Amino acid sequence: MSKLEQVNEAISTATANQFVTFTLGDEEYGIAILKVQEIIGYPGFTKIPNMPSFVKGVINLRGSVVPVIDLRLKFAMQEREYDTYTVIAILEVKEKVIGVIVDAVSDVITLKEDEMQPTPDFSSGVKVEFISGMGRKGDTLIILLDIDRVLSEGEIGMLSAA
Amino acid sequence: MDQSSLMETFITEATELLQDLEIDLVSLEDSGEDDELINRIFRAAHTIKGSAGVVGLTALSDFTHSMESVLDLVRDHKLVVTNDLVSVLLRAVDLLKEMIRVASEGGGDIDEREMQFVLTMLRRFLPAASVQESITEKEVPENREESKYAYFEIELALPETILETGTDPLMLLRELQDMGEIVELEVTTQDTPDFHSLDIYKLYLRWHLVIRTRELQSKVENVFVFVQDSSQIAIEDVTRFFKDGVDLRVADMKLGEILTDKGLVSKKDIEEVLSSQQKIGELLVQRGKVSEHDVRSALEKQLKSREIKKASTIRVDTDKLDKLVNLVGEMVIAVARVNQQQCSMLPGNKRSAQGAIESLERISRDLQEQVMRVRMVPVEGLFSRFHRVIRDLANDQHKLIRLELSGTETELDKNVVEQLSDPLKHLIRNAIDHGVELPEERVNAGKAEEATVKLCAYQQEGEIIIEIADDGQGIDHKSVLKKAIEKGFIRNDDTPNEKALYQFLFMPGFSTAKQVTEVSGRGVGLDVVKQNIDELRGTIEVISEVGKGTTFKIRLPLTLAIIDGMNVKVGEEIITIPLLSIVESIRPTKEAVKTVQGEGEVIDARGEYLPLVRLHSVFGIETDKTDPSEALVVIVESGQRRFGVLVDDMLGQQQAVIKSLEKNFHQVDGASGATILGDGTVSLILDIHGLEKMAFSSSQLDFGHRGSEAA
Repeated sequence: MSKLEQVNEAISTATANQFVTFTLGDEEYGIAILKVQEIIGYPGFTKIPNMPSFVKGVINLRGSVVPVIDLRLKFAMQEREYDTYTVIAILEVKEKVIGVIVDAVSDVITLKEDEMQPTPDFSSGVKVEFISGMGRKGDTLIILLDIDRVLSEGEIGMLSAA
Repeated sequence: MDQSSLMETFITEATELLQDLEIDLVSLEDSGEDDELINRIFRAAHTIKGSAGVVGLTALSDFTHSMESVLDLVRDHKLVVTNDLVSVLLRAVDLLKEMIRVASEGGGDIDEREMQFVLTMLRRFLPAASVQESITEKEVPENREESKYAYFEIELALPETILETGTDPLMLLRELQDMGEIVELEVTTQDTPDFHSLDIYKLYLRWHLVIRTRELQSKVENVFVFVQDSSQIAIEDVTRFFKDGVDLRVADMKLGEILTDKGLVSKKDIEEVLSSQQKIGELLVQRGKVSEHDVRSALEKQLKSREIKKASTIRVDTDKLDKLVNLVGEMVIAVARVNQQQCSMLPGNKRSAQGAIESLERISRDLQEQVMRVRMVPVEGLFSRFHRVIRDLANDQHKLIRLELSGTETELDKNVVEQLSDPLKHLIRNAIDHGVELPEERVNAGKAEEATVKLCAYQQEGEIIIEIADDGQGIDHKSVLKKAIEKGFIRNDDTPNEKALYQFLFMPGFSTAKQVTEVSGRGVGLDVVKQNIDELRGTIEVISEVGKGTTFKIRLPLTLAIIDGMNVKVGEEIITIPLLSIVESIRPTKEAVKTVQGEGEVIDARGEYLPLVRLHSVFGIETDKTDPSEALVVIVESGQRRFGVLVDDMLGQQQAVIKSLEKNFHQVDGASGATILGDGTVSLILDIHGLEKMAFSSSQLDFGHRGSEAA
């Protein structure tokens, strides 16, 4: 194994269980850190005609046109006014860059193996297939999202459509 | 350079060579025995053969060899250029292209039967004897045998006294002759004294010779074993410089060098002669043919052109270029943003800042233009390909057609050129198939027997225009109308104008051809052409006169990456409309807007009733300006028809760098892309065709006709 491969391996083990956590309503969610490119403030959108309500529009991210979806609306939660805490997590999913609006970003956490559990059978408004597992850090329960699924799902077709 | 990049280079070069070869072959047919042309063709084939061998494509190399043998006969005027010959050669070119395509895809099958067939056809042109020769002697053995031979260069300076020892130099030479073939032999007689001081027992001669032999160097050296101590004998293996007994080194040598090398003259002699020799320019001046000034300027010109030729070209990956174009576009926008925001800058420095920003803006625009120009290529390459198409089709259909090209130096974006190839080919086929009549029909109609298809390109107001014109029978206006009614595109009593009527030709499944041929007439084609042109954001129209001919006129934007846009406001949103599709903008009076039952709203634009599209309702944007008489109607043209687009207001014109929505998202109905405005926000670029589809998908019936019933 070359040096470079060793380093890469070390990085991926170190980051495999790292999650960016954020809040949506009362709940805490986590997305694998490698999916998150950056987090930006709410810049205002340009609307795109005839889109489902959770597709808020597009933004200019350093010259690239990036679509933005509101996770609250996607998960059928109550819509909320955007304020100074509202942030957009810029995610890279299947070579596409997509912005996701969340209430606020909380932390970057590392979960040990025993702090993670497979998907339970309950529903929290979020469809079970969007959840890759549950994490526990102290008293907080974190819903780990399978963001690829969330964004590829048929009705959005964000990633599948040509 | 590793093998794969060698292969890549070969593929690009061979593809280019084949393209030239094809064009040259077609013009060879017209011009007949043009030595320059034949040589060029021969060289191209030869280069392909050679490089194919280098990259290990032996099948390709062998095949080209057969082609080369035929071309060789043509070059030696042993074979007359005929239509038949050119056809076979073109077929061989097609096969080579296919072989290269297969090679570029890393392997695959080529049509073995076609190859055998073409090979047989090619051999037919070779005289029986030479076929035999080229197969049995020339092709196989000679190449192999040649490698068995060695060439030795021998400098032979025997001692003056050699004759006294009883050794005859001639014996030595004869011995050499027995070992092989002496391909070069020179005797230096410079040392021979005047006759009266000549000593007949002395040897004054020196020899320089080259021998082609199968023997080893030691064997050759053995010949001189008895004299080598007392003589100056140099034997050198020069095999690498020789081929078929010819010294290849001589090719790049000057006459003087060759002569001195052979010891025929001394260096000093040459220099003496050279210094006494006058340059051509001086001679001409002396004889009063030209002035000294003219000679000097001609020399300067020569020098300059040689320098430029040396600078030549480099190949650059188009990806790199695209990135550069994007970045520069980005910069132009950024500068525009700075310019827009300078009002809010420090008031005291505003003036000097403004000057600086203005010059920055100018420079960045210049830079943009230059970078764009890098991507531009002349249409010549594209146009000349059609000589072949025309030739083949004319032959097949027994028509006489001449292709006339003009404006071939007009430059277009490389991507556009590539994407134009198919639609143009189609239009040309169309012109030949439907437009051009048979020679006898043309004569009967009082036209020249030979038809002309003109392909011309020119630039006009930020657009490139390409015209494909034939002087054939033209389009029958009535049968198009009949067909349009038959297909239900228009009603019986409609009288669309000619321009609108001909647009039906671009509808899928619309063909007025009486007979369906292999080439065209199935009604697929023109719609695809239209689609291709749409994709390039161009438009196409038809001008035709019965009996005189048909012209297809394609308008294309100069570049794909940037458009001139008009920013319009709808509610909170700013939308960019491509300036090219805007005809005018009006604020209608209340009376000018009418509702037609079942067809929506129309507006009266100077007597012409145009359908009105409310952008806010099609795009679902909230706005309080819903009354056309308080808002603005932008009249746009989509190629098929005109219609009015209702917007709140017009904000101004801006160059827009087109950003893809598909890159991170997917296609959006009604938007052809997006662009970034001066303040950094995103603006959608309106897709007029898309909007038309969205707005009129329910009613197909109001194509371009004047809505008399609306009034």
